[in-house]
Amino acid sequence: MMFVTPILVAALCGALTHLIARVWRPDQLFFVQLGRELTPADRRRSRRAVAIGWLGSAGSVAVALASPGPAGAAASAALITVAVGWPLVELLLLLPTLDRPELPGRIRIDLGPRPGPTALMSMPLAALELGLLAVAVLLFVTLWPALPDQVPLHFAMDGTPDRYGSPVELVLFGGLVLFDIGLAWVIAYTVSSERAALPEESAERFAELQQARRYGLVRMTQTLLFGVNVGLLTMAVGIAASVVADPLLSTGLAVGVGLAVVAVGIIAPLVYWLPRMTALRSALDALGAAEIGTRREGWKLGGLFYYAPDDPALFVPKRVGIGQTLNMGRGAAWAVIVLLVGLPLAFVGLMSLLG
Amino acid sequence: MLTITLDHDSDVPIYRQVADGLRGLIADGQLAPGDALPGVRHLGRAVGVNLNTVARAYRLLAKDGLVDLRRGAAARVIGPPAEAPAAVDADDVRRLEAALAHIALSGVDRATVEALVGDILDRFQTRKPSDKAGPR
Repeated sequence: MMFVTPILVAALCGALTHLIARVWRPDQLFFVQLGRELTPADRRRSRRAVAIGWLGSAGSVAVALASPGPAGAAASAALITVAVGWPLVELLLLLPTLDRPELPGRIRIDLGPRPGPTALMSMPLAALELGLLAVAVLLFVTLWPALPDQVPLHFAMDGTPDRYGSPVELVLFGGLVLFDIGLAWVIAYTVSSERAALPEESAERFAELQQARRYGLVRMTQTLLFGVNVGLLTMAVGIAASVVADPLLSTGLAVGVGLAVVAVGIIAPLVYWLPRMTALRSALDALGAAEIGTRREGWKLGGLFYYAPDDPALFVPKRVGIGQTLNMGRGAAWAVIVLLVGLPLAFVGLMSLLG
Repeated sequence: MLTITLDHDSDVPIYRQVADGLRGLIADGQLAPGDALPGVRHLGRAVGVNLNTVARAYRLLAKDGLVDLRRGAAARVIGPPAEAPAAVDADDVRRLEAALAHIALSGVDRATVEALVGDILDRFQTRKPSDKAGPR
C-alpha cells in the first residue's frame, strides 16, 4: 500500500485537473489528438468520456471517504481506473477512423551543418547554474561541521517539521540538481540532432520555423530546469543555514521559499514559451509536413506506433496529434521507456521508504 | 541552403538518389573542390536511412572520381579531372537515352527538350573546349 497510495493520489489529481479543464468544453476532449474538425460523433464520445470521468472520480473519492478499509481502497482504485481509462479507450477506438494525408514521397534534405547543443542552449545561464551550484556546495561544506546529527527534513502544511533525519539526506538535493543539468544537455543534444527532412515546397521557410522550434524547446526546458535547480539549492542550503544560524528561525520558511522558487521556475518559462511554441507548431503544420521524412511503412496500427529499424532517428514527429514519438525499432527507445517508467517509480519508492 | 531531393516513391534506390543529389551539387558548383561532404552518420540521420546506405552513395561518387574518401577524414570533393575523357560514359549515355525516350513518348516537343537540356548544362557550368585544365 505504501507504494500504491502516492500513485493513486497522483492519478486522481491528474484526472481531476484534466476534467476541470473540460467543464467548459466537454465536447472537445479529443481535439488535440484528432487534429481535425470535430464531427457530432466525436463530440458525443467526448461528452460521454468526460461524464464517466467525472462520475468515476467523484465516486472514487466518495468510496474512499466512506470506507477507509482495504475493500474501500480497492473499490476506489477500480473507479479511478475507469475514470482515467475510459477516455483512453474512446480515443483508441477513434484512431482508426482518422483519415491521415499520405506522406509526401518527395522530400528535401538539408545538408548544411546544424547548430549543436551549445548553440541552442544559453551558455550564460548554464554557467550561472554551475556557479550557483558551486556557491551552494561551498556554503554547505562551511555549514557541515556545525550541523546537528538530526535536521528537519519533512514539514507539515503549517511549516513545522514532522520528520527529522541525517543531514546526509540534504546531499540528495545536489544529486537532483546534477541530474537536472545532465537532463538539459541530453534534451539539447536530442533536439539538435533531429532529422533535417524538409517538404519540397517552402523548404526554406520550413527550415526557419523548425530551427525556431528547436531553439524554443531547448530554451524552455533549460530555463525550467534552471528554476527547479535554484529552488532545490535554496531549500538544501536554507535548511542547513537555518538549523545552524538560529534554531528559532523556521526551517519551514526556507523550504517554503524554495518551493515558491520551484513553482515560479516552472510556471514562468511555460507562460512565456508555450504560446510561442504552439504558434510555431501550427505554422509548421500549415506547411503540411508534421511527420515529414518518416517511413510510410514504419507506421503501425494506423499510425499509432513507429517501428523502423532502418531509420536512425530515435524521436520522430507523431502522425497523430502534436509532439514526438519514439522509433520502437531502436533499442534505445526501449531504454527510454524503462527510464521514463522506472525513474518515477524509483522516486516514489524511495520517498515511501524514507517517509 | 544546401539541399538534395529524395523521392521515396521512386524505383531508384535511395543510395543512388543520394549520390545523384550530391553529384548535382558538385556539378552546379554548390559543392566546390576541397569542400567536405556531410559526415556519413549526420547525413544518415538527416535522410532517415542506415549509414551503410550513405556510405554506399559516397563509394559510388569515389568510384567516379568525384570524392576523396580517406579513412579517418571527412570525404572531400575533388575537382574535375585535368583531361576531359574522349567519350561520354556508356552508362550515362544509356540513362540519358532512357530519359529522352520517356520525354519523347510523353509528347513534349523538341525545342522544349533542347531548352531544358541547355538550362541544365548552363547550371552545371560544363567545361568549354577552351578550358584545358580544371581547377585542380
